[in-house]
Amino acid sequence: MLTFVRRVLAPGATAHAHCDIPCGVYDPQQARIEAESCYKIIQKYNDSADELFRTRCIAVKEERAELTKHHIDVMWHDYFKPEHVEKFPDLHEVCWKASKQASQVKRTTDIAEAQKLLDLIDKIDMMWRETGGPSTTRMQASA
Amino acid sequence: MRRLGLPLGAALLFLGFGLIYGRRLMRVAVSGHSMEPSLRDGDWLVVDRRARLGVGDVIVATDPRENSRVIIKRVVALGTDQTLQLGSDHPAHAGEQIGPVNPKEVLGRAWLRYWPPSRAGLVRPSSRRCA
Repeated sequence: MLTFVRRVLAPGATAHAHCDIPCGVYDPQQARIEAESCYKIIQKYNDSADELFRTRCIAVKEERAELTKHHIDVMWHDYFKPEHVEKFPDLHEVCWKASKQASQVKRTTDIAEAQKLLDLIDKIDMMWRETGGPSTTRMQASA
Repeated sequence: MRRLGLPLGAALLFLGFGLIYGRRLMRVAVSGHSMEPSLRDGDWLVVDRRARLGVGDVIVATDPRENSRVIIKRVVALGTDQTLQLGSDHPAHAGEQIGPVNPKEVLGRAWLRYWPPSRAGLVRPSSRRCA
């Protein structure tokens, strides 16, 4: 019910409270690479009996999960536009869930949670591709 | 049920105002931290497109540095030609100004925060000038 209310009330526009000038370069792969790091670090954490190593794993995973969340939020707030929401009505919900999932990965060592995060980022990636992201927000390689 | 009370109330309130004011109101999501503590990243606001503007008001406008972008800032000064100088609330951005902004580029004045429900309320003008 709360999700339904959020969807009904969701704004169609974003107002930026930044003082920087955006570069206009966006790619969900930034989020995916950080999320893959979380996945791999959780694997290493679970495979190790070295307490010091496991402690370092936790610290690095939390740092990477925070970066994942940042990159998801940049896609959500800065790349996606109202016309993209028209094309993908669940866009806000997917981004919201992905951001929440990054927080979940930050506080867990359950690899299934890391996989859920990767799956949500892949949905964002699909929306980015379907809205022309690769051609409009990335520089093309010079010949 | 209590958990749903505030969001449902906000939804009904918004629908009511929407019916009354038609196209006068718009909704925007805040992205970024430069307006903290007044506004936070992720806040959802109702913007009044026809409100009169003054120094201290929080407004939504087209970014004069990049026209495809919409910004939310506080009016810190009015020029003699009625152009606006905008600034931020966050002390880290003290001294930074954006402008001059043509009044025609202003989309409206932030009026009400309706999300998150725990911080719902009016967006108040301020006499404080951080920029």
